[in-house]
Amino acid sequence: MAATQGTIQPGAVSLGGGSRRRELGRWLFILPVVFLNLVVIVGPALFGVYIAFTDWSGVGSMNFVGLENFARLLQDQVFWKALRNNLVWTAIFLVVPIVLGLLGAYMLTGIRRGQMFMRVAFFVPYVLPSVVTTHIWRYLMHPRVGLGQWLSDTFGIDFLDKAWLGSRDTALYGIAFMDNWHFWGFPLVLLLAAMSAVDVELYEVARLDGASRFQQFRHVTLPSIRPTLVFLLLMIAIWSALVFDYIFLTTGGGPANASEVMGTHLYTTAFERFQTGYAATIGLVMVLWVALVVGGFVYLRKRGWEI
Amino acid sequence: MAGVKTRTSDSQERSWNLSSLPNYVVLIILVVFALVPLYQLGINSFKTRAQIGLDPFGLPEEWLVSNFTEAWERGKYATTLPNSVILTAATIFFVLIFAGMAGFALARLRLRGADYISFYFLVGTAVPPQFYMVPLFILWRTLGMINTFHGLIIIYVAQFSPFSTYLLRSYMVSIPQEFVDAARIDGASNWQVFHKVIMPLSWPGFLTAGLVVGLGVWNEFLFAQTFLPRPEFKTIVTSLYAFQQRDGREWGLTNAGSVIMITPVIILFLALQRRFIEGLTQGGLKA
Amino acid sequence: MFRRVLVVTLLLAALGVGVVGAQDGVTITWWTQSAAMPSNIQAVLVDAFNAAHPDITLEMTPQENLNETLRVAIQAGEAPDLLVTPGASFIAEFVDAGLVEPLDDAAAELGWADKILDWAYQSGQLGGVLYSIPLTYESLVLFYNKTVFEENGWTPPTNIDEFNAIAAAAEDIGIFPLTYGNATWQPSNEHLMGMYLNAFAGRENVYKALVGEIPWTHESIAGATDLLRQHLVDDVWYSGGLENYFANGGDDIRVELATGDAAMMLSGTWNFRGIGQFFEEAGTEWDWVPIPPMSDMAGEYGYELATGTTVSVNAQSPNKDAAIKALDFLISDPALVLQLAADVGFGEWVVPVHFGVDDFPEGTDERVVRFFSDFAAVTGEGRIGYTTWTFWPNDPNVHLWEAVENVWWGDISVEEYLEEHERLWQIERDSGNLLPVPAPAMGGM
Repeated sequence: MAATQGTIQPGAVSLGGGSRRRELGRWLFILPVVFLNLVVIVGPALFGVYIAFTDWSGVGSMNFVGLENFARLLQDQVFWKALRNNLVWTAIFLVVPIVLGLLGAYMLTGIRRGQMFMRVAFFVPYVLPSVVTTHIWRYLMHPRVGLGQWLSDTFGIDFLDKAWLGSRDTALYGIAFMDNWHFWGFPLVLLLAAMSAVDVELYEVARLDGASRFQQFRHVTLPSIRPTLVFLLLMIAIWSALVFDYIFLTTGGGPANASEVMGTHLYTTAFERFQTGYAATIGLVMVLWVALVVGGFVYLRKRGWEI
Repeated sequence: MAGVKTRTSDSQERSWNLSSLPNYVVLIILVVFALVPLYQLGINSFKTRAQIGLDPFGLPEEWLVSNFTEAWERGKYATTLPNSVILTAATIFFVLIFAGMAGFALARLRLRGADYISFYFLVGTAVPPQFYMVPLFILWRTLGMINTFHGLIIIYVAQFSPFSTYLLRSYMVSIPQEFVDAARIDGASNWQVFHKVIMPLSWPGFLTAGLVVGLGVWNEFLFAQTFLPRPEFKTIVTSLYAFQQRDGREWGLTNAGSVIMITPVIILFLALQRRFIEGLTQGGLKA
Repeated sequence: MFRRVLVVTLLLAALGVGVVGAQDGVTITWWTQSAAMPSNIQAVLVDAFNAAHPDITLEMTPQENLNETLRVAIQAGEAPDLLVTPGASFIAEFVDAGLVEPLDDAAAELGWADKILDWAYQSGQLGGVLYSIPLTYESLVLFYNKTVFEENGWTPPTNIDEFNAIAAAAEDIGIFPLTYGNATWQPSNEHLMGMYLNAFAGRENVYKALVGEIPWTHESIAGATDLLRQHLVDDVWYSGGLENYFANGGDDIRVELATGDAAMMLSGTWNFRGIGQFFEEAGTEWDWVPIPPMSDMAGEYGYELATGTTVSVNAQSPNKDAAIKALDFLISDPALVLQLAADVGFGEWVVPVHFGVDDFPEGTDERVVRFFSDFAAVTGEGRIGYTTWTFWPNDPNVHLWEAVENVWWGDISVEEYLEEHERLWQIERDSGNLLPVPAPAMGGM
């Protein structure tokens, strides 16, 4: 069972001969997805790249303005603030939901009774529409009726009694907390699926070797679920660049841009200020950011990192 | 199947010794974390908007079951629910086929430039909709696909496939090579390896991908709203917006409406989880 | 695994219902904002119109995300025959792009200038050409908790001294003098900014700034901006401070007012829709008075003029005449308008046509009728004010509510804020795309 662990090299199936027909046959597997992607996203998005170099308002005529939008980007304080917040957001989400998901999933594999109930309980927050999640949490975090107020009134615990979303220092973290409540069930479900597929014999061997629970987790579970874990981290890094709705629905990027991210800045620019050209420039930066993340990932893999 | 040692039966054994106590302690804390806000959702779906504002955490003075019937009526769920079921089912179906094939190719077939394809897919998932919505709309209009389900389904399949491809790939690379080799020796073609060996062994992956894609389509608003503007094609998320007012929302109805909206997903999740365990059991047997 | 048969059947069904059968005669489409739409609109407006016009079928579709949906559809020539936009300042760029039909000929022929309130009619003009009709109008007033006022023997303020006195009295009994928040609608900042501009700087100064006779850095404007900052930040009159303001949503502030946690709320008449619910639940009473003038510059009290969503005719539509008939049908019947408005508590769809006190449906709240009759009388004398979302071009408008947060947090000074505001206005003045501004009654101070 030594080959259980995933190897990523595309050459895992050795197919004799380099015949062109066989190569073509293999490409057929990937063709439908590529084709749809080209038609629906990449093709039309090329137009979007062009928009980034214009002063288009979203309707009417479009004038080519060269690099003017990019020059403006460099001057745009709100954009830099948003970029920084996106980095903070990425850091939070690469750690917190993954740790919670790993913890929950590993604990779940160790029990039988109540497992189904707990799976559902952990997953339901992920199912809720964001309008509802944000509404629930806005009350839980509200300075007048929220959980902090209740703890303060009932137990005299004061430190949570704050206007979490109203303060510039805490707004971004407050929203990240909410979104994390919603999101962590997702890594949990994926990691649980991966952990359940780990060969039982590996645990038995480890146990015979006297490994503790943590050592089993460290040396058996983690290596076995690595493909899923890497997939999750990569997707989170991508999604964090695009975060929008939780922030839009709670603070809209405020107070005074404290929780602004690239997504909300793009939205305001496109749909409040009607500067679609500049909005496309911001969008282009978001795509480039992701390209950089994914590029780094692919590079590391080419360098032989098993991820 | 009885008597065959499987992964699930192993966890059953493990659950009965004392060592699972810490598991329960941690899990119960996490369950409370997950459920407290859901409790609020539940009770507030029986209140009026003003009651929620005045007392968001208390039990309703009067349990307004009428919120559910009113939400159903005003949200036009009788129209939007079937619409969303069609969109979701069709999208899942095609995404799983196409992404399954692509994931297999990336994980198991030697493709020249596979890394570039991966790169392209992943970056493609990050393109903000504002970037390509207008040209896509114009293209779709030329093709006569505005206000058609298949028009939107094609968009969804394109949007959700890269993610699913990657998810499935991460499952498929974990499948032991022996299975594939055995099939090869029997003279199986690529398609047969995919269909007969990889697909059955990747069920957890397919179910998870189906769930995530389904949820994505179920909750999708921007494209549904733009590409299906006619009232008879509205989707279930738009029902939630029926309770929106300029100064806020009818929160009682919104909560009731979202309970209506998530119920089918939870039922699906329960059904899939059962399959999921079955799938694992079968996988275990074959191993 | 998958119910393949079921899926394929559903898919075929999906393909089958793609095309909708054509109807006889002309069909015109009208998208409305679902959040504002009266529930009786189908019966009161659409069915009545269709019955009166056998050759035309009006089809009204509520859209949940109207602004964005429309912007995409209009690019591809898929927009409806009647275009609804969130406000007069939004129409300018559609006009620039040649997407909006001029309505002057139709208006002259059908006598629209007589059917619609003067100022509202003018607000639909751009460069002297009529492009849109407001679908609703509103103003801003001072709401107060009548129960709290009666218990404490307070009378609603009519000037800044009385306003300050009540604020002090409210603080003495441990409640917030005022309540507001922007957590669920970030641009709510502009409600307060607009009210302070008109109530402190006065209609004459705001008018002069709007038409470019004085700059936005004028001391009267700076004074108004600073007074709001002072009430919000230094005095913590609003819901106990800035952080609470940013945490409060639309329902929270009405709860604070209804429970008597706050004494007063400066806000819009859209609150007529739904505010009663909160007071009923709390067992208290609400009422309103005009916003008290906050300085000598303001003269006698007045009402800010504000239009909400507007409707125009799509220049690309093949059925413009039919679309114009639909508009004419709506604005020709005050009783029909009031029936629609009543359904949404007179907070939406108050189409600005001429109606009198007697035209209101029986059982209309006295406080609502009182507002509309006083509004007509007072604004008729030129005692008007200017709402930011009706009279500001889009860019300065966004700046007004967005950057003022930086003033409140102390990142920038009032002067810096107004300098930038003036700069953005200058760009608009240079482009010549200004919205029409009715002159106020002058020299009455």
